[in-house]
Amino acid sequence: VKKESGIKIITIIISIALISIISIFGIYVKDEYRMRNVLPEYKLGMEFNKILLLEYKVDDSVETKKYNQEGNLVTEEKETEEIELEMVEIEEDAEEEYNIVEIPANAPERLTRENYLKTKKILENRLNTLGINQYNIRLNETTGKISLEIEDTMENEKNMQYIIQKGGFSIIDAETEEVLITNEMVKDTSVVYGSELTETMVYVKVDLDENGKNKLKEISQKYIPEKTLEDGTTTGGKKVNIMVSDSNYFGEGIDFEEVMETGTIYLPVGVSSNQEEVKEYSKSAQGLKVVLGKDTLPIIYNVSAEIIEPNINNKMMTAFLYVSLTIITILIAIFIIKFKTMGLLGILLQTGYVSILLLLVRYANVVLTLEGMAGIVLISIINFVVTFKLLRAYNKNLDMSKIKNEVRKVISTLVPILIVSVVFVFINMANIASFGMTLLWGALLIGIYNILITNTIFKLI
Amino acid sequence: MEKKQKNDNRSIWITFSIVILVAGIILAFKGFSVGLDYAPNKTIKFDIEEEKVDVAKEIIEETFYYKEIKIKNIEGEGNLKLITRIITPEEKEELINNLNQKLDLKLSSEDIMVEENSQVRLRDLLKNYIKAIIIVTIILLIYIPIVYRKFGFYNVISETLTSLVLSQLLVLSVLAITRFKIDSTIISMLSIVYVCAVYTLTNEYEKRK
Repeated sequence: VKKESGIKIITIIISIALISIISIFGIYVKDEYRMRNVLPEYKLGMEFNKILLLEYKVDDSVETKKYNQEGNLVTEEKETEEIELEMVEIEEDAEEEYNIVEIPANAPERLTRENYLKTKKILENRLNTLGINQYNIRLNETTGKISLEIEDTMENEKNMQYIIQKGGFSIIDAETEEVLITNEMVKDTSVVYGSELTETMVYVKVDLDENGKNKLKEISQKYIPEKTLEDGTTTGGKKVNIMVSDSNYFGEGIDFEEVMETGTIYLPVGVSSNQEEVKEYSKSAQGLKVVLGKDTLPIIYNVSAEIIEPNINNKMMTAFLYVSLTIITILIAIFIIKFKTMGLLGILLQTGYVSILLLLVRYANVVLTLEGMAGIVLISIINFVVTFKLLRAYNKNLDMSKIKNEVRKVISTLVPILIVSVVFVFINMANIASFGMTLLWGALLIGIYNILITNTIFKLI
Repeated sequence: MEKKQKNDNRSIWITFSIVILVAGIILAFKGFSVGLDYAPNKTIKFDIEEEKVDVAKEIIEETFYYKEIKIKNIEGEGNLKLITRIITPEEKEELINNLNQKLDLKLSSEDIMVEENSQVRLRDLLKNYIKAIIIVTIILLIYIPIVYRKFGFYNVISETLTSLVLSQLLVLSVLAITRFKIDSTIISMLSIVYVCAVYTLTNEYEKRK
């Protein structure tokens, strides 16, 4: 029996050592010309990666417009050089008769602290809707300048176009630019899918309120394709522009083939039979949905983007490594001083715990922020305390029932930690969720590891 | 023995009260000390050839050895960014002269703009954490007194509430008194202390069981 126990103990110890080696060094396989680690990479948070810095500066440009005596806008569009010359002559002759109006991009009354704060709030909402849950935002309440830092990823670079847009939905007369349906009439927006044979179509559905619904019905009867009636006269031919963030969504005017009675407009985003492409269209639709929301930026901004290096650099990481190594050395010393040979078993158990936790973090795709790393350190220290207590109980030659009691106490103290971690996981902010995730996996692992491994070893010894 | 325990408890309470009071006074007059990335700061961008960037960083560090600065590489317009709390026109001039002399550049003071950045508000940094802590404290104020009701339901409620709130107040107080520069590590610190308080509290009840 003793020999059998010995074999079992050695097997467990070798397994722990093997897992630790795999967790620290990885598993390498030959991949064409190089060796590749088959373990998933750690997903690191924004502070460890390049940062996309968006700077929103209030547009202070002024547009000068000329109106003639009749109050009509005088544009500078000329079709031919001759006409251009002729126009310039006419303009020069009548210069004094023009009414020159300077129109600032942002009316001074709009440049208020309330509007700056509203812009910031809208940007935060857009980030949350787009699933960007780690960012830094700073607002200068005097100048209105907003700096937004997000992680520089391919996805965020795509999302940028939605974050910086003014936003808003409207339908205007293509010719007169009369606004027919305003952003205020939008009740709700959602991403919807349609399918035809093997193809999936992705749309953004815009639902209008009662007022908008009636207006849409009215314009869908008026803005119809040109038709020749029996008496030879023509009707229809008027078009509307569907505007998203002041840009024509379809790039040209459209008309209505049928009466729109439901008050719903579908904006097509893409169609494909390839699931990956559909996924991409779906993300774009989500972005479009964000800018179609009721909240439009109250101020016009000039946005610039730059990519800066991570906030946490190699120096800081080296410091973190030294601190961690110091803590580990202290813990090893405590085990050896207190438990002598059994202390070595304690060190092995602790190493095994941390290694499995790190593997879990990799496989569970936990985004490791600074807080997440703090969570790993904290829960590892808690496991150290647990192992210490179990070794102490064993050293006192307590019977197994008392060790079991000690394990029960460990589980009882873990429940409140699990409560904390679950609440943190559901907070929509990457740094808090990361702390919660590492704590959750760590606390669950403490329970399972100590029941299955530590307890078994004590039984076998 | 019991008397000694009571005296110990009283000393702890007095110490905690003094720490929180001192921190309160400091906060009322000076507020928290905030790290460079989160404080109102000034940035200057330089366009420097790739191979000279490392030397330029050293020159900037030497010039401003006496003040807190951060130098970051940027991709795109201007490839080096200096962040500091404040920079006078004389300091800017001195820096440009040093860079021009040592790197053989022709930077002029007019070309290099100093940009002002406002602070990241602490409340923006902490609002989600505060939300999480309020929710979890409410849940724990229900869970812990139920599990350890044999020590007196209301007694456990008051002990739990005191421990959890005090743990957070103490961290903030220590940060305020030591003038620790608050940055992105604040949530880690507060969370670690909160979890430690929860663990110690339940551990204590388990021992007394």
